[in-house]
Amino acid sequence: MMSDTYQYRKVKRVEYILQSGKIIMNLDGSKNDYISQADSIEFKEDSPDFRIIKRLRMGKEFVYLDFNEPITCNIKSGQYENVLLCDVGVEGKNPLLYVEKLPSLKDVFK
Amino acid sequence: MDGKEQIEGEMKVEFNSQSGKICMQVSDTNAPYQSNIDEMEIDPLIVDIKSLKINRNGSEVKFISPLLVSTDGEFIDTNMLGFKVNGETPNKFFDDVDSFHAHNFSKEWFSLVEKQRKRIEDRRKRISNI
Repeated sequence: MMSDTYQYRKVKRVEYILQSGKIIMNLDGSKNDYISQADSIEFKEDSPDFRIIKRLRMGKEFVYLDFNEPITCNIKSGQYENVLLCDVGVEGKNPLLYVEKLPSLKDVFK
Repeated sequence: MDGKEQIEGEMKVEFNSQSGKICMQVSDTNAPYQSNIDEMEIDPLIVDIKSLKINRNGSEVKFISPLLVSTDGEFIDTNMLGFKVNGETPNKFFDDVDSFHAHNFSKEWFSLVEKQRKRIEDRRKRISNI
């Protein structure tokens, strides 16, 4: 069985294309974006803290999320893994940003 | 303040990107009014986001924005802080929503508008008598 791969990244901005599920995560200190596919992005309901967001822009086809400070994402990837889990620490609290990947699509690391 | 009276309050807002429908409500006792927009932008440092859901079927956000209404007795300017529609502050957006003009903000609101209107009418009468 293939072991999971963990990549800790600082994410500055998330762009999400609704229809295709394409997600583009702009990484701090890197010219390359992290590009993947996701079914949904959601903040865990019991611990939302939206102060981490600097700007939220929403249209019929897209969502842009800019963060005040780059959020630390523990990006798990593996052959059997289908979830991106971003742990976000804000003032002692620990809201979670879940990015659920499409199970049928392979993750792409740049 | 250019002789304008101002009222500050809060506006509860729900926006569904799939339908483009935006629903706004000044208070629990008032009926919400609706409109359609293509795009919205909010500043979470100013507005209070209550919930945010994003998936491939669309995105939905609920938030409360500070509402600023001013009047000179004839014209009503409405603005929501930290909120933009199609890249612009939504003054024109409010002008285009007919139901908003008939919106019942509060008793204080109508009292204030009526007071202003009488003051302007009295001033005009005094000027015309000179």
